[in-house]
Amino acid sequence: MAVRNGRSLGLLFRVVLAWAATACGAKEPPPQLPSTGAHDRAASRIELVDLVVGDPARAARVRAIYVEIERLMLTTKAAEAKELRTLGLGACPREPERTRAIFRRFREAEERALERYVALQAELRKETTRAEFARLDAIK
Amino acid sequence: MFWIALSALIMTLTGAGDDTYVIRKFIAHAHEAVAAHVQDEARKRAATATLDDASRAFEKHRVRVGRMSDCLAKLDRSYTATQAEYERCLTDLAPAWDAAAEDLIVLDARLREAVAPPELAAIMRDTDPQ
Repeated sequence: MAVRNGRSLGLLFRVVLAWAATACGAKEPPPQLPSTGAHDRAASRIELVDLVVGDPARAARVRAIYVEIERLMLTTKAAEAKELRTLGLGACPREPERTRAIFRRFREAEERALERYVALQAELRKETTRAEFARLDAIK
Repeated sequence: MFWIALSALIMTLTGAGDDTYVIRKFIAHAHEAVAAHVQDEARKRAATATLDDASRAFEKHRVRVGRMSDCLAKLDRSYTATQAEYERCLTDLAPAWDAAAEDLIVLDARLREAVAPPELAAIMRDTDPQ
């Protein structure tokens, strides 16, 4: 019975993998996790801060904020991926409560990251002028 | 469901977007495997419906978390955005993932009920991407 449970979860997980494989042939960006979008926006700006923020000390602090966001989200992705692997591959959960626990850990990783992200966004605004903020925002 | 995370991760890594072709192909392949290995018509219909529901549940969850992501992205563009506004964007985070867990548990149970262990093993073999 336990093996059967694991197999059925494994099959459903392949539906997941198939969705994941839809990355090919893009027409429009798919919905993202909040942490994924946050990572993308920060990562694209790290190397360009000096072009926008003239004051070297503030530029260093702004860059450090973006670097922290990028690392925070990558760490979060690693934690989330670990939970997904637990759910879909290898030793599949046998009981609903185990499945709930995995989802809970996944969600908590996302929540922790976003809580810190909100604080970093506040710091970013403190370190930039409105004009600098707008120019950074224009970087895609 | 939980698969939003993995798909988002991979799509982020690849920088690519979405296309329903591959998932449709996979579902079609899974349906063929069910048709080939599940002899009883009622159980065959149940297994097929479960695969369809898993696909729909994933899409629904994807849209749900996508709304939160869009909300954050919008605030990120505003110099005057407040912590309270950010927190409002994320009020659905826990309910969305809790709902996804329950969906998966239900779908998993349905699949286990629908097919016999040897049938499930055969379907797994046929849909194995390797």
